[in-house]
Amino acid sequence: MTVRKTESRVPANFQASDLGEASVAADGRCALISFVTSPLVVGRENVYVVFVTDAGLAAAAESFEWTLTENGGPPETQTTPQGEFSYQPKADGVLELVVRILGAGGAEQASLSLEQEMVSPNVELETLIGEARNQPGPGVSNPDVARELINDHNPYYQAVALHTPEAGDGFQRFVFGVVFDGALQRTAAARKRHLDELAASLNGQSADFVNLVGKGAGVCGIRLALLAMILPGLLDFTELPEPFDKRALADEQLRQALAALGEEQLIDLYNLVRFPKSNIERCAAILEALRDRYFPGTNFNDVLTGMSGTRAHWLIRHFKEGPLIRT
Amino acid sequence: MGSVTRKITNFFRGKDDLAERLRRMQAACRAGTGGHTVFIKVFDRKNVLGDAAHSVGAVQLELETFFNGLSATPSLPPFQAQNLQTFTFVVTFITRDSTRAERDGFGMMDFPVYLETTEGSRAFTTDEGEALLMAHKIPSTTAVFIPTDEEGTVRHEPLEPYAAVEKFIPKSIAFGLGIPGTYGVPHSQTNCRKLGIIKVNHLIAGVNSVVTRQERFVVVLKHELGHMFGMAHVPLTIMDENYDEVVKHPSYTIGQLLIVSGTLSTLAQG
Repeated sequence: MTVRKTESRVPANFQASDLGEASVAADGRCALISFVTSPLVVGRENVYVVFVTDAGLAAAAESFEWTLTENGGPPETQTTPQGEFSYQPKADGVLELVVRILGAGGAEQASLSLEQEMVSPNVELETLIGEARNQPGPGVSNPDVARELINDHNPYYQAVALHTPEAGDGFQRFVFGVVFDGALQRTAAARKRHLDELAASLNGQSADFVNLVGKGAGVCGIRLALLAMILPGLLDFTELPEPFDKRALADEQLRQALAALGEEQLIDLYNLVRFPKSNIERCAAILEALRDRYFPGTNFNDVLTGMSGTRAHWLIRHFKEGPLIRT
Repeated sequence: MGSVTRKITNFFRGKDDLAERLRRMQAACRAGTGGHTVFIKVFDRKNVLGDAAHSVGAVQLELETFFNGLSATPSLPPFQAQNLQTFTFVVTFITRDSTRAERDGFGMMDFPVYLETTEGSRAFTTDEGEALLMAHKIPSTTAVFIPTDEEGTVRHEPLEPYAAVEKFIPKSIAFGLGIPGTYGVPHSQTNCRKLGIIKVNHLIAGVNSVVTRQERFVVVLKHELGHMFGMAHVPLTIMDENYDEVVKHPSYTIGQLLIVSGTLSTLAQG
């Protein structure tokens, strides 16, 4: 199968541009989405995904040809069997990407293009990391995580906003903390492996879905069952017992209920957590929904600092383990 | 799990910590187009422009004439005069807030200024000030330049925009704030990130004459744009810290003009 199920549809009620930097074909049959929004950073891997949403085009597609040209230089071309490709920019300047969907005999069925800028790694961050190495005292505890966030995900966590604006920047700080923690808990490679395993199970290549969704997915570590509770019409809001021994069984039942959703709904949930942009946006939406449910009317500044941070502590527990029944 | 959750929340207890510094680090500016048109865009999102200017057209004309005439300043070294001559300044007054697309698209040659008020139901608060800086991707630190001679030698003075905006908002004698891009930083990626804010209610406080109000408005705009070009406060010049002194000086000094010229060259290179 050249066009996998996981690249056959953009999540319902979302657009390609909600997932990342997107280029959509004029006829709407396919879309190219970049994990990172321009500017890309030299030396840092970026992932591109082609969605083929037209059944006829999907049937005709046999391979994907990716051509990348940096600063007008010699093009680099690679062909992949599926519509996903990784690339590391090599120099500052402009990157032109053209992806052709090829059919039988190499005949072009469709073509998408994207132009992005390439810049050096964040100078301010590298200076901070360098200074921390040379001086005693607290520094950037994990430079690789800081590099990932600031170079790759910066526009996403900085763009989060509450549905009902409130004074202060507590919400933005809270979301950044959760994103940072998610990136700290597992390396980008480990997260990618988990997402690939989820994709394989959805594409029918393994039957391990219920176990796989026990772990949070993507940069923020979003549990698909929790995401399904927040999106309308998927799963009923279900709280889990707090004691670990009782929670384990309830959690498995919840994951079984998740697995029983329709294939398209599961694919949509996967794609929302797959792309850093939508993962961070959905993480913010989940945190807001949990705050509204458990601490209605409490400003996020107060969530963070009031009651010695107890509310923040519980929001994070609901996010990572729950939602939990509070006794 | 307790230690993980506590770690996240402790990450954000205080504002002056590493986490906040990381959160405020900004993505690199998009490359400049090499254009030489300087766009000064004044956003009147609180509908206070009319309190400051009885003739917006006259203010626009005066500012454009002033900036487009900088190259003709007597005693300006010929090379700098020629350089400044290649730039055209366009001033626009926009009677609404900027859109997200505009803010994301502000480039090397854009100089956005916001007209604010600290009175009434739409009072400009320190939270709003910080949000405005974040929306414009203003970095945590930048610098302004103090000319030490009239040949272009300067010394840097660091500026922390977020602390500066928090201090400036409640201060009634501080009419405006101008934040420059990081022009002086080698290999800077945030040259394009500049911003001006003028508190119109403080600017016009106690001034009944519409003519005087407009004069103040023009002078303060020149002053704050001076900061946005990278100028520091300099006593006994248009960049003096006190308005009463500022208003006595109709133009920038030669040293200050060299800063404008240098900044524009840096921005034009992208």
